[in-house]
Amino acid sequence: MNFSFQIIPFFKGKRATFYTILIEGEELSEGDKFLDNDRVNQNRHFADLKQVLFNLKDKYGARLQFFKDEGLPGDMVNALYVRRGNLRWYCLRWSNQMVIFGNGGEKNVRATQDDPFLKNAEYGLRWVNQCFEKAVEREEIWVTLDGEIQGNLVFNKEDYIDRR
Amino acid sequence: MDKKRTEQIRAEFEAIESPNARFIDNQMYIAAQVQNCLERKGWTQKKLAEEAGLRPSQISEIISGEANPTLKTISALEDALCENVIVAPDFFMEELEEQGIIVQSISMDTISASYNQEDEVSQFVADESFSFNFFNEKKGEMEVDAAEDTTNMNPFNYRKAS
Repeated sequence: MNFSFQIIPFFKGKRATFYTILIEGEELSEGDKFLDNDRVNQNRHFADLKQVLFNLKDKYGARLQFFKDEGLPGDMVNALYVRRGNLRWYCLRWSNQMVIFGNGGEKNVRATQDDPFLKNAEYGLRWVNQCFEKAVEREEIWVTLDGEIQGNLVFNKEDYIDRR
Repeated sequence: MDKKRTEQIRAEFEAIESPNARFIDNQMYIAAQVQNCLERKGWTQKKLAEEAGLRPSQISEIISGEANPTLKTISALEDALCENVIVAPDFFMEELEEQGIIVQSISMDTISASYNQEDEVSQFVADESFSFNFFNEKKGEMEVDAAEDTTNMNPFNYRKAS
């Protein structure tokens, strides 16, 4: 799954800065699509998820202990969730100070791969993860200690497709 | 990008209030505090489970902020860690005074006022416990002989190292 995208600010707090992804040609960012999805925002755990997110942003930072590990070993793909709830909000957790949010939804299957929508959200983030890490390696972007991403936040897919 | 729609979505999200807000705050507060204790001691979750007589799955749930631990469970954790995991602000300050530690010169009225402000209380407790931990660790480092084990000399230490 390859696409061009831009990383844009989402929410900023005392302890962490959150970003999201705007895919080329889309009207809404992935994070905003998640919030705007009726199946998500009508979910009974949605308000609790907001509370968790804002506590991370303002009080605790994006501590790993509050995320579920998703994606591949060694990548940054995680999911924010609520105790006993079925909402999964996929994200790239770079540090306690910086997280990039993608899309997500209700998880009613055992494995993410069994739900095409969630699979798409997770695989999309794997691509973003790949691009982000390459851009850091190439020193085109960098993350400050307080979680701010600096550099060129526009990612053209042609620049990141592995041609080996 | 539809900026107007984006602003609207985010504003609606920010306006949402969870009826479980206080409960979630406390779950996360306890989770973060226990994790900090583990990191200070260099303990694994398994080690804590053994020391506290709890199941590893219980510890895992507490640390990920998913548990609703009983006072008995929290007490077992505190005993194992030799640290307080929860504090009562009014009595916490008295405890500081008894230990000869002054965190900041504020009156009990000020503390009560902070305590009564719902949005402030969790942050207040978290900040104070952090200051207390930091201060006491430094104090411990200064006072304790180099040879003495300092692992129990942390801020909420109520079961003093012999």
